Amino acid sequence: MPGAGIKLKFFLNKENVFIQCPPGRRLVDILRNDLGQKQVREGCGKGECGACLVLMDGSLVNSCLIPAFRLVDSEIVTLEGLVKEKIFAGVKKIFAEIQPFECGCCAPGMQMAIAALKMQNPNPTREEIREALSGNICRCAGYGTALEGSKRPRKDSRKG
Amino acid sequence: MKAEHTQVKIYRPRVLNGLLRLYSKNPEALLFAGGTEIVPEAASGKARELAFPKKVIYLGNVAELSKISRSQRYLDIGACLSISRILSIGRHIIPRVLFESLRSLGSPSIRNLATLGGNICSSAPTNDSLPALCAIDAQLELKSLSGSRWLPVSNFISGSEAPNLKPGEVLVRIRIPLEEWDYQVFRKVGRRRTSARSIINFAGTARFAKGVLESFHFSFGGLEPGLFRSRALEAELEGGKLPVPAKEVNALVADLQERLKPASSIKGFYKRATALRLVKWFIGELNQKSLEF
Repeated sequence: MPGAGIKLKFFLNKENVFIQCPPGRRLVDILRNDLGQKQVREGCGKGECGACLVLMDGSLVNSCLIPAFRLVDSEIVTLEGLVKEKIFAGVKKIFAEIQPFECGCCAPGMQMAIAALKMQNPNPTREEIREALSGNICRCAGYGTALEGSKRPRKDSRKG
Repeated sequence: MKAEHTQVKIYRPRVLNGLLRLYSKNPEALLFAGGTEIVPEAASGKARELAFPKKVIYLGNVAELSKISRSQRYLDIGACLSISRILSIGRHIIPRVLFESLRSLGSPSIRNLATLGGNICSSAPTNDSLPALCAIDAQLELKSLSGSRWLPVSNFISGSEAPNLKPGEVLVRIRIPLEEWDYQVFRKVGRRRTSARSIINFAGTARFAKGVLESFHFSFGGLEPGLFRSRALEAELEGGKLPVPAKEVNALVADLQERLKPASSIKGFYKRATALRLVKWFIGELNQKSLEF
């Protein structure tokens, strides 16, 4: 972890984190390289592909667009943190069942986007899911299966 | 934007007066709101750290910049409110043309970060909010230590020039007039609906009464030299009968063609041709709508 720079305290998956890094270090690098959150991936580095999505203070954001100085006292949730949450159980189960991804590079980002949508709207329509996934780019499996996977957990989550 | 990363000094004012004092002392500082425009620029090549100038003022903690207030005539939006927060006000309150333009601005995760003030001040010619704000006569409040002034969007950004900001001046509020429009439309022409910049965008609003076109506004973004609106062209149709006769439509399109700069590239030629088609289409839709009214 780079030593020089500013001292920061923030919450990562409900745990306190203290780090020291340059103010311009990107959140994606802090999470993936410094804190071992490997489900946060870097694709385009410009906020277009959605591979690095995380929740920041409850909002879905591209971690490649967040410089370290914005992190002060914020609450970050990555996919590693989200898997422990009830809301994600249905998404995880159905995605594992239908396997909508091929290489899997975009998978964490898409799952974050779907989970963020379901937190606000447990029963989204197909159009709302399309809108939620509009910031995610997949270059092999396409979006149809992911869309289908995102629709199906409705029944499972009701049972659970 | 080249600086030694560790030398970057970050300021985080919490009140507007503090921000204005700080910015007047450091007018060279970079104002950082959402960062969706600044960060990709600052990410130089494969560098792991963003290259910021020596002084950065983070606006996200200034409470006055994140307020919304509504009166009977206006909706005042703080410059640092995120696009998704503005959209959450609802399509029944925000003029539809602005709502649609903000909805087409990036993906949901980008809209959670990007701010309306940032979209205006970064003033890239294809920023989606600009033609919509221009068409509904939105006003901008600019504040500095020496006072405040109001400017219409079309005076704040003209052509491809930098925004009309004096040293030490900050965009504080965007005032949206809550007028009733009978027809409002926003169109984005681009490679992708989200996460791609518009090639050209268009906003149009109209109000009609008793078969007469009372008010008719339209604006383009992305043309050469940038944001375009002409009151003179709008006045050609205002006060005329509906549906607008084909002769008048053709005259307007010919006048618009004259006013637009001759294209200097194939892309420019495409944009110009698209702009003319969009105006024709808008008036056609307007005619249709007026018949239903």
